[in-house]
Amino acid sequence: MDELLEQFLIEGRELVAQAHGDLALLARDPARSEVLSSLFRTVHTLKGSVALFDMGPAEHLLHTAETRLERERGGRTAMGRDDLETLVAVIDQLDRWIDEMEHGGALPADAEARAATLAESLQDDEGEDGERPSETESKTATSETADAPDWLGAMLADSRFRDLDGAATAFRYIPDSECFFRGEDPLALVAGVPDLLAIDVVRSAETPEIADIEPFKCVLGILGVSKGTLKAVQGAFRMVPDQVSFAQIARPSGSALTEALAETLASTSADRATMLRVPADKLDTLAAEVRELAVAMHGLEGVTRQAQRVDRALADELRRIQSGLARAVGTLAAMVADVRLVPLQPVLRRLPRLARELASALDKNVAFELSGDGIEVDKQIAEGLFEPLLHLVRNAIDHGIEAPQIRLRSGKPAQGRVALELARRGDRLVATLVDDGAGIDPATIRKAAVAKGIIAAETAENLGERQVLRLIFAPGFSTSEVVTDVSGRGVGMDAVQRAVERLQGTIDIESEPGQGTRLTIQLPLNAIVTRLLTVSVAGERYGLRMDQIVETLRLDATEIQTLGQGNACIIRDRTVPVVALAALLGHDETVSPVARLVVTDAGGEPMALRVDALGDRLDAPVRERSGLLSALPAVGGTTVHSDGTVLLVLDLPELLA
Amino acid sequence: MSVVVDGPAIRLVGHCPVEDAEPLLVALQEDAGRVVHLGELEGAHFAVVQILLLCCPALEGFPKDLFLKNLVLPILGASASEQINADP
Repeated sequence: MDELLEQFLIEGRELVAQAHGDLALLARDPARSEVLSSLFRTVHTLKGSVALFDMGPAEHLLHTAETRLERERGGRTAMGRDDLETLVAVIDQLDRWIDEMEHGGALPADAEARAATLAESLQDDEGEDGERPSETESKTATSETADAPDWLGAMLADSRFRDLDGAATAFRYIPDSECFFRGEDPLALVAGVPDLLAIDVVRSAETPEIADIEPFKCVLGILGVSKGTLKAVQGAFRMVPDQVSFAQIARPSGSALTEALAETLASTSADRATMLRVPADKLDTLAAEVRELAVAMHGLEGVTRQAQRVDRALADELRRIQSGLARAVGTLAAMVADVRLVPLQPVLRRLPRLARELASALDKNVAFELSGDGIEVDKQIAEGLFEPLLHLVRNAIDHGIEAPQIRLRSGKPAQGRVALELARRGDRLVATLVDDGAGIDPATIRKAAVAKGIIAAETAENLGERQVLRLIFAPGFSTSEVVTDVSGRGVGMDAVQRAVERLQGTIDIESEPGQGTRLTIQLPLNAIVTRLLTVSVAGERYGLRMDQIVETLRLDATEIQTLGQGNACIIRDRTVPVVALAALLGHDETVSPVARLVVTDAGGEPMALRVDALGDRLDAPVRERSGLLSALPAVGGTTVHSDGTVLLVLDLPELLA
Repeated sequence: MSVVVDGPAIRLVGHCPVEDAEPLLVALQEDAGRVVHLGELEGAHFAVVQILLLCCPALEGFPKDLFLKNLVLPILGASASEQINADP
């Protein structure tokens, strides 16, 4: 793919997310001028970016949006809810077009018509003033070059720019005076101009006295000449198109000396890049190597213990070396973990649009709010989070939020509310999805679960309300009486729970009939090392993930009673089923007077797994199951124990399903 | 700190981020005669370069960074070629 297009796909989407963020803030408080300005700048930058590609309808539409926002900034018109909704639709449309550019490299055939319709809605209130960009805007990058601008003559007359061999494109960059506060560095942008030959500065009309200089106010502009093409030079300034003018210079081709100079400069420009975009698979490999290193470190622990028995001095020396290595590996793992942290925003940026499209398809009136998406989490978590969240949002809109007339009848506002909030709590990411819809009636769930044969009627009666609600995570459970196209069939809440558990997370549900539902997903921010408990069963050792374990205990075997077809014991006045892990894994059960139990709620309900022995706890990197192991259903992955043996890490939810 | 004030000299060391504009300005406001040494400079934010352009101190040494050395250094100390009009 064209490198410039690749950049555009990334930056364009970031700008779309930024615009949606601003629009959400404006929806709450339309009078916030700084948000309006930010939105204006974002739309303007987007317009400059699309102008670099064959995206005429997008440029036209964004120009109209920009004109509308400009009027708003000037206080000439008042922005109502309809205007905001149209602007949201404009940004959504642009988001779709960016997807089209990625997949097909061009806008779809109906782009012109769509742009015209949306532009018309934006212009409705404006009367005759909604112009097309080419008629009014002489400052845009593309139209600027049609005639040589005034500044070019004076600039080329200057000795610094005169007689530069190969000079092809000139630019005049007057940064916004507040640009430093936005984190921009005009000089870094200029350094990124390909084949730069010379630069100079321009001062503003009022150059301050030394005593009056404001250090963080940008008062200088930069002029420059490059051997690069107009498009290449424009590309370097794609984030600040409104602050730069360009002009093409017609000159004979350059001498060998200038070419050599340009080459040197091009290489130094490349050296100055302070941000790197690294392919994701390289990071994955790096993380995998660090895991290997941690595994090897773990092996050393076992050797040190063995050495202790033979030669204490040698063991001490080994321990000293090992602790040094452990520190270095720890630091390295932390650094890699940090590099792997990515903001959730790009991953979740589609959610608001999909929520709007869904609500509209279902004729529902829903306000979707997204907050906290600036939090950074491990790449693996970010990538795995979108699908379950999308499913939950779909469920909330499809099954949770009632049709407007039903809401009105029950005394609620016609517009339903679905809010997704992401927050950091310690080393966990907490995603909370709240809706003010119909809620879930435990009686309905109880009835449906029994009817579907998920649990026996007797068991259903004994379940508490919270446990009943958790039944919706049981495989094959779907409460909706109408199966819609939206939430689909086959993929239910069980799939959501599985997806969350794959990320070592938990999901919880609370609901009040008539009032709404709250789903809480807790995930680690960082998933590289896993806490494990080792257990022995039928002579084999297995690893169990600590986050799936509620507690471990020893009981006299007589305390385990036969109940129906299975066994159960009483833990803190509560009957908990007991299952032999050996039986689940196809081994023979061993009998012992003392029962060692691991209590887990990984299957949705507390369950005690009987094991032969409880082993040590370790922080170990777990590798995804692969190769032959992927055929074993109950194995979630593998790790290497400190004695060098491979430990199978069990996937409890799958084992208990 | 990448702005090191040493009596009559100011050394710019390593990469000077935007925050360095303020201490550099203060050092030059205190004593406009201070000489700014660029020999250890590896990179500078435009805010820092802007202070040098506005205060015009005496400069010494060449920045390590080729972009600064070849393209920015020639304009430091030289007077700007034109003024920005109200609207470019």
